[in-house]
Amino acid sequence: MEENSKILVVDDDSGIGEMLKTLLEFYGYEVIVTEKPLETQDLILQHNIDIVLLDMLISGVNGTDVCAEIRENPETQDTPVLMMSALHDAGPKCKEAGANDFIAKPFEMEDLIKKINGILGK
Amino acid sequence: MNKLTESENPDSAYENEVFAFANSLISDLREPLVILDEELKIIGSNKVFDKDFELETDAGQAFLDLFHGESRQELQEHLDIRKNSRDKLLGVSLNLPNGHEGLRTYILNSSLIKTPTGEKLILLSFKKQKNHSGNKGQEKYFQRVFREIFSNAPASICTLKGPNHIFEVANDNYLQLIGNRDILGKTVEEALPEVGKQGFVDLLDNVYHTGEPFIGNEIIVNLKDEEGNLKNSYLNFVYQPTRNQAGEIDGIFVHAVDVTEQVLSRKKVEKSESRLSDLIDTVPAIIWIAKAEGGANYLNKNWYDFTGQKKEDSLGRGWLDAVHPDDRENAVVTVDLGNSKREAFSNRFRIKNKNGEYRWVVNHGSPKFDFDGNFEGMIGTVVDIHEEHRKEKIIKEKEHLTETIVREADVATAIYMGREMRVSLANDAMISLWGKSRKVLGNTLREALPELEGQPFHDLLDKVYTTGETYWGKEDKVELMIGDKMQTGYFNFTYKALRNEQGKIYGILNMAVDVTEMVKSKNLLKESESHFRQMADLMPGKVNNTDAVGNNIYFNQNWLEFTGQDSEALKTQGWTQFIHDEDRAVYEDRWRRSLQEGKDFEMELRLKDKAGKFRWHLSMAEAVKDESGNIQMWIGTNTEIHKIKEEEKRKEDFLKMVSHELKTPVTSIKGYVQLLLSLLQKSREPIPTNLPLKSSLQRIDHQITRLTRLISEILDLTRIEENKLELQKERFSLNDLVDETIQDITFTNTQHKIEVEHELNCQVFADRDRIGQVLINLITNAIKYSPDNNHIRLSVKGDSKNRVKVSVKDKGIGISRTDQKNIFKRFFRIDKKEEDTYSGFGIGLFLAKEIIDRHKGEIKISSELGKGAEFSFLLDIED
Repeated sequence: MEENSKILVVDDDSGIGEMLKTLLEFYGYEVIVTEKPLETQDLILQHNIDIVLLDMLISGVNGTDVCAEIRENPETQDTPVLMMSALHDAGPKCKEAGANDFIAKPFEMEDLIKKINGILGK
Repeated sequence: MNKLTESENPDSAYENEVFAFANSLISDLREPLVILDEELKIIGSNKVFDKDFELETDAGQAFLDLFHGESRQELQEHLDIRKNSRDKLLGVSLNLPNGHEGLRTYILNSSLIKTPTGEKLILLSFKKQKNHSGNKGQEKYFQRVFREIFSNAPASICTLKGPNHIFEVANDNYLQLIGNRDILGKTVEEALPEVGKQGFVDLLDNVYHTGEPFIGNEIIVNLKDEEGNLKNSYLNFVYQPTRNQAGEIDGIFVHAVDVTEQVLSRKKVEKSESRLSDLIDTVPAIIWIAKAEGGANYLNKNWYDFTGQKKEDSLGRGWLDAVHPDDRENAVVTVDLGNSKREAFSNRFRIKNKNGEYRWVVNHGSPKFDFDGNFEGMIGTVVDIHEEHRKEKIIKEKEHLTETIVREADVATAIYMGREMRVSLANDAMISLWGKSRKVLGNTLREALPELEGQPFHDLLDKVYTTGETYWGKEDKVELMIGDKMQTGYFNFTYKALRNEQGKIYGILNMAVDVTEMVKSKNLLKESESHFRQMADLMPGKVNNTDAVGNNIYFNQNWLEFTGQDSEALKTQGWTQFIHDEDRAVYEDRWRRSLQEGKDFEMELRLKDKAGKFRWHLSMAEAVKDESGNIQMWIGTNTEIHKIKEEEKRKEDFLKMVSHELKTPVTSIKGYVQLLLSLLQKSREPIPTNLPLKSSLQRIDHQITRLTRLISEILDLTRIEENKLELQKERFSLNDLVDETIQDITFTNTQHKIEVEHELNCQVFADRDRIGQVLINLITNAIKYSPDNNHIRLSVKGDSKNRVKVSVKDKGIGISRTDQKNIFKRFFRIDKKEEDTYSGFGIGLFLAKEIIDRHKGEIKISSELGKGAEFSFLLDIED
């Protein structure tokens, strides 16, 4: 667990955002939550985000598009993205959009931590 | 009467002496005698002379003065000749007027007598011709007759005098022959110059000089007629030389008979006779002629060539020997009957030819009458007809055979003879088709089937009889009187002209097949077809109809309304053009396959309506087959399912949304539960043992997992239905997956003991999560249906086809055979009273089967009611 690792959670459902913030902070991560996907890139740069936890379906915006934009921006293109969705078979689409990994909602806490650490190389 | 003795010549004694001498010579001779001096003066005559000629002779009287006319002329000629020659004149025949008998023929002899004084005296003696009877009157009569004969004789007669052939006399016939030219006193050459050139003058000269008479038969003479035209005449003639008293030729007697007509007609006859005989011998027939009393009196050469009989053997009744013994009686009776009745006859019999072989001949005889109508006998011919007879026999046999066949045949057959269509033959099938009895045979068709009047068949038959063109009736309607009821029938039939060897039509062959039932059922079919169309038009869907190979036959009203096209346009262009581009290729491929295999067709596709909008349709087609399974046609329907499709889409969207929306709070709940569990684990404060905090949280977590799975299943179901279930295949160890799944399940299912046996360790290339899902479904299913037995056994084995088999075996309630068939169907749940015991949507096994199918694997069940069940799936091993 890396206390210094900063995670940006992008999810339009505030319940999920709050839950993840609580959960991940319990595990020692610094967590920034946003319900506005358009802020994603700014927040990444502003807070020096280590990993983005991005929901696939955000009201009005498609998570995969957000992911693709991150990958297109040279300043953010190296930031790891872990996508999540209640559509448990959405993995391929996400990976196609440039996500490093995918996790289906609802997930086991252990699995999420494993995947985050895996991406961060810990 | 002058008596020499009474001579009154007183001049001299010498004279008296001479006189006396002469008298002495002649007085006693019994023939008339007269003595003349050189001046032909009578010196003396005997009594017989005076008496015979009834003359009074005086000495010194000129002798010739005693006679007149022709007698005098004749005498003078003879005496002139006598005078000029010194010879005796003997035997000159003369006609002289005998005093009481008229002209009589005398033979005149004259002798020259020299008196002792040197005077020359002429002694004429007349010897009466003994056979010359008659008197003067007779003589005249003869002369008259002679003249008449001469002038009226059918012969042409003339006399020619002298070496130059001067015409002396000629009768009327002769004059007519030479064209009534003036010829008397002229020479032949002068009178008939044309004759000279033809050699007749030479002939005359020859006769004249040789004394040989010339007899000519049918000699052609070219003579001028009255008009001066040359004309050929055939003459029979005689040139007979005539002689004077001295026996010298002094002329020619011509006697000619004109035989021109006879010659010409004979020649004609000869010619025709020769022709006839040529003909008789060249005709290839035997010709015979029989006498009025019967029996052959002539047989031509052919008879003898044919039979080898000799002439003497054949005549009379001899010819019968050549006739076959069996035929003799018939042959002779017929011939005799013809002869006695004087009527033409004809009969057939066999005659033996010269090779000893019997040949059939036909003998025709006709009576022969002469010019006056008298019966002369019979004339006839015998012709070899052996080959014809043989052929005829064969034909008759064939005809008999044909007749038998026709009679026995099932096809109704009849033969009508002549233009009046006399029913000469009709088999039982035809008679029964007509509804008549055999009594109609021999009647005309009009008599036999009076009900045909007013129907077209008499005219058709007459036309066939006239033109010879066969008429084919196809399902022709015929009204027939069957029993006492008029009935309508339909027939396929032919009217075929029958021709004889010369190609002349003599009858009509009629063959007919009753197709009434067929036509009626066809009509029924037409009716039902029309009903079908009416029905099809009433149906809300689009109905169409093609033939066996897919050619369009019919589109119902809805099709026309939907596309805005008319029936013809649809039939020619089909309806493929209205299919959405994305669906068309699939449609065409699948429809082609259906046509080939005869399998039902079903597909959802979009069709463009007349406004250009696409609407979803369920397109179906089914083959209509006959009894033997051959495709008759296809009936297709296109049912608009656009609204249903939209509804479904909305439903699926809703379910997607539901599952997504449900999962979001579940995710939160699960997160907090896990956080709580983590806090609990890390808490240093002891938890009161009577407070089941940890186990409660674990149960909540477990129920959340179940809830999550149920929600996922709903989503999976829609995915499967939308055909959007995507597989993320990877290579992994199936054994590991099995172990992990069991671990997960035992984590929350503590009551059940799950055993696993890894007979085979292997890798597969598959969607790990989905295969895990299948395992979970099978294991949770086993748990669910084994409430009383907690033993569940898993095994991983290999099979012979390089596949891995994973089995989940329980000892639960089991599944009946009937239920086994439906167990993998969607929403299927075993119908039990304790239904409520088993929760879930009933889609777990359906999903498992779908997932395994998509991996091209196999899922199986083996179970017995009450004895548990074994579910297993097979996947290809990845080497």
